Amino acid sequence: MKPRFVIVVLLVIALALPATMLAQGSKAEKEKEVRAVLDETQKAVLKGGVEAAAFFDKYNADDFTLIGPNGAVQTKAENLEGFRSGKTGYQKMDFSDVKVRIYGNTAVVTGIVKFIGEQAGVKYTGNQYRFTRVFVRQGGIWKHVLIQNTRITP
Amino acid sequence: MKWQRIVLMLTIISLLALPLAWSQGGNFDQLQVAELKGDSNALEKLCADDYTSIRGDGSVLTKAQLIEGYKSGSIKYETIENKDVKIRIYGNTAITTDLSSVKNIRDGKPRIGTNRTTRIWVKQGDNWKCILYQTTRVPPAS
Repeated sequence: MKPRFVIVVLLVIALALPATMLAQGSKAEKEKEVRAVLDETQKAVLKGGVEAAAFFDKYNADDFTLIGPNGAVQTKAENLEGFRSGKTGYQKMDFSDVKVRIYGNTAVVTGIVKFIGEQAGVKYTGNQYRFTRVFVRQGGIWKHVLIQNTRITP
Repeated sequence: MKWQRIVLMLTIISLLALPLAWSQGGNFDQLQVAELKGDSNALEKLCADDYTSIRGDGSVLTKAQLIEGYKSGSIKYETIENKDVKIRIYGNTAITTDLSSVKNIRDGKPRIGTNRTTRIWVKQGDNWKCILYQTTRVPPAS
């Protein structure tokens, strides 16, 4: 093997490695940001009322859609109104088995959530639901564009 | 400038055409045809390697488990009728939601029901691949 060829190959590897590491770091950084929003979401939901409505006004995209465990669909406006009016309120919301997948400026979060509370006439009494939350980064903020909950049944 | 107008018009046309392409014989329809036919080769192509299926009982399937289910006959659709199909595009990600009436067989048990379904798609190379499916059962109207 010619020495010049070896040097070129080593140079290419040396240049490619930091770029790969940077891309991975960037993905890890995005996952960290999304997990932080999820933590803040939990806090806001438990506070409820106007504080929750203010949080979701910022962290839900304008085209936000919530698909509840009975298949009912809520818009952003309906979701905020639920918190403001007190018709939506939770005493408990625990996430587990949370997995975050990053695809550019979209994050797909899946896991299990356990609720105690009420939302749009549906009472939650501590059952477990498999959830998907899709976030899209808009204006530097990871915003919910979709939430879907499916009850885990034996 | 004339060329700027042409570029703007082409951009608008392509943005308007994209959801149309999805709903008329696009990936959404192709996946549904594959589900109805139990076409595991087509499912292999349309689903990404990290595909996840969240079923109506909250159970989770990987891509390999899904394809094995169709091959073994434990997953079988007889009819799927969609309503309220919505397609949202966010760069290289797309979300499709719908309300579907299905007649299917799961693990030998027949089921007729209505589901609210979401599919998430990611553009990989030149192809849109489904990375996630979630369905929530809609209780019958009382």
